[in-house]
Amino acid sequence: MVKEVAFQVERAMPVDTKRVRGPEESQSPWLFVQQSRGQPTRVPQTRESERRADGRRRGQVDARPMFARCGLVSQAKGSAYIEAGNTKLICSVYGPRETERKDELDMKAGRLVCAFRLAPFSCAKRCPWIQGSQEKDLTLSLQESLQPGVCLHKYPRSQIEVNVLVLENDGSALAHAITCASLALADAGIEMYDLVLGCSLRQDGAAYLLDPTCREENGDESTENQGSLTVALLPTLNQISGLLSTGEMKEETVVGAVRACVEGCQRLYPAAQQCLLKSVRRKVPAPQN
Amino acid sequence: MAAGFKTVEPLDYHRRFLKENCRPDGRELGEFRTTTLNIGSITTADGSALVKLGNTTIICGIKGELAAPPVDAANKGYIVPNVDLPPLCSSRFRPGPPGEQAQAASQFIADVIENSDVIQKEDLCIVKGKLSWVLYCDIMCLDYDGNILDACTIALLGALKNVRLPEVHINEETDLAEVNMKQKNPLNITKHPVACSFAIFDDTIIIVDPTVEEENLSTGMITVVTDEDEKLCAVHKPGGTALSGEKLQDCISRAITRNKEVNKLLNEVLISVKPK
Repeated sequence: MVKEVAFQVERAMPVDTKRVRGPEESQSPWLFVQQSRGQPTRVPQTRESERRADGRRRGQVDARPMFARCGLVSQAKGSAYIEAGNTKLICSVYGPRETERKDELDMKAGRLVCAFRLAPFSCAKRCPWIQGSQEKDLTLSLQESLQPGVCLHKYPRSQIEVNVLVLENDGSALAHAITCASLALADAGIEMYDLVLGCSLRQDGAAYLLDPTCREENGDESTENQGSLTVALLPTLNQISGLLSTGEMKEETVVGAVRACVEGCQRLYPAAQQCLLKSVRRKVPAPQN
Repeated sequence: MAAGFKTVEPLDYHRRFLKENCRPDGRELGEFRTTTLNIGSITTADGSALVKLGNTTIICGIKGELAAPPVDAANKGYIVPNVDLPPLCSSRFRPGPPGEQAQAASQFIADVIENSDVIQKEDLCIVKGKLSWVLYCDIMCLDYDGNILDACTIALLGALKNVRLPEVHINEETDLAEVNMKQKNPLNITKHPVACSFAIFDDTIIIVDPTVEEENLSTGMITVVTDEDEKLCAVHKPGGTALSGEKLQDCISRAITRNKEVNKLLNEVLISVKPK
């Protein structure tokens, strides 16, 4: 009898006793939007020369202009805020701190602990407070992309915590999270081989859309050669530290897409450098000559 | 040298300033930090507000969803506030379920909403017994430098004033809701509650708007919430040193002044935000 009840409880949504609770079930109003007849929700783009919704070009390395600022969170060792189009994210870095567990690996090199979080109001459909598998996947991807860039052997027996919070998700959240996290690590003074910059694209039939918005990311399932790609690159060393690809694409398309992403990252590099220079200048006043 | 003394004897360091009736950051005992307010920056949320009280940064995003009204009040909607203190904002918070402080803050905000009647729940009902709005007010702290309760209430108020909910009506034939995203209406905000927090030092001195260092050294905390009609909505005093009646009266008067300042700021910001 007890087992049966336990099974039933597991099936229902996990009851969050630590938060103020609302109704058992609620739906987003977007589910009930009246579809106006005769006009499909997505306008199919067939010609290569047609522009995207925000005026950028298809099939060209045209990323959204990025605004980056370091040193916003006063409590953190290092922090960064990035805004690209409507995508807004903030990252803070704490550490190096003494690590709790002491096993073989920890004695030689430090550990990087990442946390990727989407705010509940960041997506069109509200994200519940309890982390789903999507966030865990993205956290793992973030960690794997950042790890090759940080000189962890210089911080034995320590851990460095990186916390990324997405305030508004308008596409390519992971790519910008990687860039934001690198800027925050640099702002914190953690030694790195190079900045890790992220860039993503959406393959839509014959052309690719670099740095897609949320609408562009949810592609049309009917046409073939659809997929998404996110690349994390160390620009000076020209090495790829992370690559995440979904969807079915032809071989040449994927190779071309990776090249486009790499170029996108390289173009991002000067902006990232400028941001770090400004933050250093703010922290350390110019010497009196 | 001052930095060394501050680390070794923080209480004595603060006491020396308090004797001269001022604080380490140069403020007077009754002075608030600079308050900055930014409204409507998150486009995916129905309403949003970002508040900076000195270094303390709080962002509130409100999303409206549809649900059946509660069984015991068929003509009311829901308003669900939640405060989150992620590890991002300070090293004292660990990842995982909300800790004690976050839960206490969420409950405080829920009480303020309930007691101050900031929004009538009847306004959130669309069709009695069938459909109502649920306003999920998610408040996140981005930088924890003390006095989050004040900042949370200002952020919540700002976000509520910024909320634009689409029109919904029920189609009689299909009995389903139909949402018109092109027509959006603001909420009817009846009262404007503003919180004012104080820290008690050494059982006698009361300072307004404590920073995180002052909070750690204080012997008691008290938060007073008033609305624009100079009425008292809530007084939150979780333990700590006892406070005499006249000191409490001083706190309430200061809170009333603060209410006027904050409402003035809020109105200025709302005028400057262009309507969508």
